[in-house]
Amino acid sequence: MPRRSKFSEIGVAESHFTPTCFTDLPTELAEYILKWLPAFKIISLRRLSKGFNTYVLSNISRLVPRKHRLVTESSELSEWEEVFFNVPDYFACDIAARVFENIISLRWNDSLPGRKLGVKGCTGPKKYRLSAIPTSIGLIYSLRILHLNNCSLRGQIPSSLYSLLQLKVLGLGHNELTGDIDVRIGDLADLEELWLQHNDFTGTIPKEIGKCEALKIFQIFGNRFTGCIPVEIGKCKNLVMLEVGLNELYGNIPKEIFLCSKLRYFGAAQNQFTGSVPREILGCSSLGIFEIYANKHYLFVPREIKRLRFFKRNGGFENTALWKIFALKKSK
Amino acid sequence: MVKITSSDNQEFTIAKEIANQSVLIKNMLEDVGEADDQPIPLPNVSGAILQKVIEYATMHKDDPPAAPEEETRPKSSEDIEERDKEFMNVDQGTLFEVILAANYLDMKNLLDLGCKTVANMIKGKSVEEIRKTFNIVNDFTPEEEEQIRKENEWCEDR
Repeated sequence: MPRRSKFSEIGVAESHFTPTCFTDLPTELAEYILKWLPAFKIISLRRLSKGFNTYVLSNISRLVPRKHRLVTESSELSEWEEVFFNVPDYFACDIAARVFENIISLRWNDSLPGRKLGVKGCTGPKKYRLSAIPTSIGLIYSLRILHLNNCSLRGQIPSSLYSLLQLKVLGLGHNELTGDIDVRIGDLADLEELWLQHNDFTGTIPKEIGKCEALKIFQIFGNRFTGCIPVEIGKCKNLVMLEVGLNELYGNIPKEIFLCSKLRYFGAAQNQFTGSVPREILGCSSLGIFEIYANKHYLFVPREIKRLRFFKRNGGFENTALWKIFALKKSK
Repeated sequence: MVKITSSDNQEFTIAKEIANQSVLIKNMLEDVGEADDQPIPLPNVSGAILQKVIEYATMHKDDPPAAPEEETRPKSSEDIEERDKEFMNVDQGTLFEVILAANYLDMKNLLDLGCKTVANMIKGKSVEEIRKTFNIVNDFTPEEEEQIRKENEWCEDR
């Protein structure tokens, strides 16, 4: 006896031997029939019944055929482009993952009129707005660059996002995202750029960030992060930019930060840091921008800081908004 | 000539080139050898359906061997010969049984034909029409259905 279709739970036929509906066929055969249909038609079958709805939702990525041709030959893709650009968020990623093999870069961009979605240089009007980061984003294993900046996104970072192990760039800036950074951020060993600025994130900076040894940019300006900067961040030896300004962070600024020899930008203004700026900053010759103004307590700064490049470039204290002279005075 | 028997013990005697269109029978014949003239039992196929399958195989006995599948060429369910359309003009019960038989007998062309025919019955139909065609019971509450209708707006009515 062939295995009976999942559809048969929807219940039509009484006979075990004579199928009266294609839903009574074995699963493989029912699927084989569906595969002759265009993707949008398969998805429209969700409406038939509860059984179909569940089935289509859980098997969409298998039912929608993988397309081998890439975007360059648009004539080959006419149907797909249409499907892709008109689908709501929750399917866009599923379908993208199937349609484009080895999809590397995905960006939704709100700044263009009509909102465009670009995949590997392919753009088109997108009717539906992204309202949250689609959970299905985790299906696009090959993703390396994800830009969802400025998309009015709400909600949290779905845990599936941390399964994108090839991710190099994660841009979620200028949204209304909440929740925290999961410790699984440490799984993203290739992560080079993390842009979370201007959101509503809370919680602490997980110490697992130290496992992202490729990290160059850590930008979380303008959130509600609390706790201390974990000393483990010093393990990110490639760090070029560390911007944690305008949060609710407290404690000392760890000296390990200034042992990152490539650090050019350090921003910790508008927090509640206390103590002194560690003397290790004096050895940080690459540093070009240093912001620590408007912390709860004045931060003590080593006097020799005048030697540093950024200090000279900014012409001392006079013309820089990045620097508050009172911080220095206090240290005397 | 090859003898085959159906699940209801009807015996058919057919030419070898017709029988060989079924990969299942072809393999069986190769296994048992030429000399054996015992009928091959096909317990999963009824006589009526076997009759239909033989009709198809006879109709296609002179087809050139299938070209190696071209991955790039888009397959379309509309791509059906007129005589095959005629052949598939049967009631749904028969249609599904033919599909099952083709799957069992390993006859790819016939399986494709059957599945395409069903796909074409779904194509171009509204959800209500599909439900009616296949006797699918709508077990959604009106609210649930409305929700899915909204989510699906983008892919319907085309």
